[in-house]
Amino acid sequence: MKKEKRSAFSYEAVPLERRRFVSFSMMISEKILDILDIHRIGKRDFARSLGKKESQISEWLSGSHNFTIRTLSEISAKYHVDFSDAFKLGDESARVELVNELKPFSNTPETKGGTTIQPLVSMMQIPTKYALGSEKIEYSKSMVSEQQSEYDKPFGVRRGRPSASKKLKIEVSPA
Amino acid sequence: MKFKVILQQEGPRGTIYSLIEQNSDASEIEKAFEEYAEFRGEEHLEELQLVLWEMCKKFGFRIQRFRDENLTGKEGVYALGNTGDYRFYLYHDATERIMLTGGGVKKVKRFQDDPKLNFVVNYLYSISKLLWENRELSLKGLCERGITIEVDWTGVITNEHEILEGME
Repeated sequence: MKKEKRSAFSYEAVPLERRRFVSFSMMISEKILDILDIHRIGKRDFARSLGKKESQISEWLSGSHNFTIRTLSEISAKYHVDFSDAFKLGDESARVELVNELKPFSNTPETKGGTTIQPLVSMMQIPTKYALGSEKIEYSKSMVSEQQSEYDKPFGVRRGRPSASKKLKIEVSPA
Repeated sequence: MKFKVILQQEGPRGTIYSLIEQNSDASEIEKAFEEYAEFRGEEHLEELQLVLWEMCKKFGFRIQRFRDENLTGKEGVYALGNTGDYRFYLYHDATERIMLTGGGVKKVKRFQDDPKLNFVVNYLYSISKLLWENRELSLKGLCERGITIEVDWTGVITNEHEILEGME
């Protein structure tokens, strides 16, 4: 039986998380390649400086290595590299996908297998004035900035304490 | 064996060429992708294709990304990294251009001890040498003009004159 020819690779058909994984790994390895160029060292010397084997470095540079935070920390400490921008989503289309993935908050209880699941928001019993809504968001924002302005003052300069109405009252009922 | 150079994948930062055997409907890299998926699974293949896609689109082919595998004397011939025991060999023409083919599963310590791997490395080296010695030749030119490259069982090019004439 003749085998069917594999269809051409389609980037869009690959799940987003796997595309991101390769993109991040490629970005990190690109930064490592920059280190080699800047310091004019080969993979062998770079490996030696980190106490690794050369084959390990080849794997890092392949573009699909799953770097650990420990590894990145070691490289960062040794060569003073900032890896943070390796995780930036520079591609505009990728950002659109991200926005689409973020589902809006729901306050409606869900029913699964006969059990009603209360959404986290309503379980926390957030007062209505903080609930999401165009006007109320404005109000809650002003509340936050008001509170922050009091707490942001450096120690020794702060005058007074937050107003009594904003203090938490803890009541302990007798056993 | 008779091959033609084909354009496999193209992007703003890099182009991947491969070879297609006479009377075959799949290029050498397409055949290798099939073998690799069988050997390591579809997910590994997908990841490898993503890496190649990213190289073509954003990064190009920086030489340190590839393994030289002690290919002493085989200047310009490298292997892709992180592919387990499967070997994909390539001729690194420039940061913007490679010629990629499959190799196969490496079961021996030295590629020279495996006739198939040795053949692939040798014909890639022959192409590398041909391009190096005849600077007017290019992968793009060979591809666009549909030039046939004929190699013997050892991987040595046997029709160098025809190739040069075809490019005139």
